[in-house]
Amino acid sequence: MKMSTKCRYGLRALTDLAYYGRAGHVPLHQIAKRQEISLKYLEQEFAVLRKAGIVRSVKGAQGGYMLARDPEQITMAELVEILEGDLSVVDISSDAGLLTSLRRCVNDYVWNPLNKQIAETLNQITLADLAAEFDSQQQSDTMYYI
Amino acid sequence: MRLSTKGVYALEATLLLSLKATGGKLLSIREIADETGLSDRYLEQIFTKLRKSGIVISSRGKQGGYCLALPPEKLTAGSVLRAAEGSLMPVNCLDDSQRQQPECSRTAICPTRPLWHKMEKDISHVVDSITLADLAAAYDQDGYRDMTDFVI
Repeated sequence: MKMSTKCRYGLRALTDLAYYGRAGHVPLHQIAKRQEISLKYLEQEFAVLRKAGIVRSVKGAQGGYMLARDPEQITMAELVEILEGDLSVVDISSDAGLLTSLRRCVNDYVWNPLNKQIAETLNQITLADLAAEFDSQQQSDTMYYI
Repeated sequence: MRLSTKGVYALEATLLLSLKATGGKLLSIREIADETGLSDRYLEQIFTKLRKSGIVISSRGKQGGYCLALPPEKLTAGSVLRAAEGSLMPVNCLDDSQRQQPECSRTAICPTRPLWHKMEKDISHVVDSITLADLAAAYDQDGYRDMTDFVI
């Protein structure tokens, strides 16, 4: 059960944008350089994020991207859903086959509580929290756990 | 961030063992396949992993089959899932079995690492707090046994 590269890189790039974009828009190549992610890859990611209403593009030679909303209003649940497709750890409904009594029991007692717990956590953490984390990392080398 | 079917099926199959492979009785792959609706070839692969991790034990021969290696009270959903999946870490950089050498140079300035840590804690908290005995008891008490299986 691994998070996709799309999601891991996307969240890093958005945190960078939330942090450096406080004063205005940020050119994508700067984010690419700071986060060591290829510009081509970021362009694809930001096209998706723009369509989803997370970022806005600023055209022109000095163009770039800015967040479409306050980072306090953007939750990890929303971002992971956009970048991963959805939040479920297990999706039994897509697994055509027997809905056995065993499967129903495991669904009710393991998968549903697990999906619920993860959604709850991701709903509580916003992009502003990640940007604050990034800020504290810039100021010290100490790891800070949320 | 999907769990693979290996983990999903492993949990269903070990729940079946805790319900039926009791008191010295063993279940063959054929019987497990019939009850779970899963393919016996795939179950063989999963059970090889579960056996190597000490979740199940096997006995060969005509009356051979599988049963749990420990009492179901001692086996959590998490231990079964880790045995089948290899790891439940949401990202490779937190995963000792997958960690690239040298360690990621961005660790100290990675704004997402604490998020993955928190997520891993959440996952472990849920799957490590329920045992196969809990699941088997729920299966019996909540009337799952009486439900008819149907194909969706």
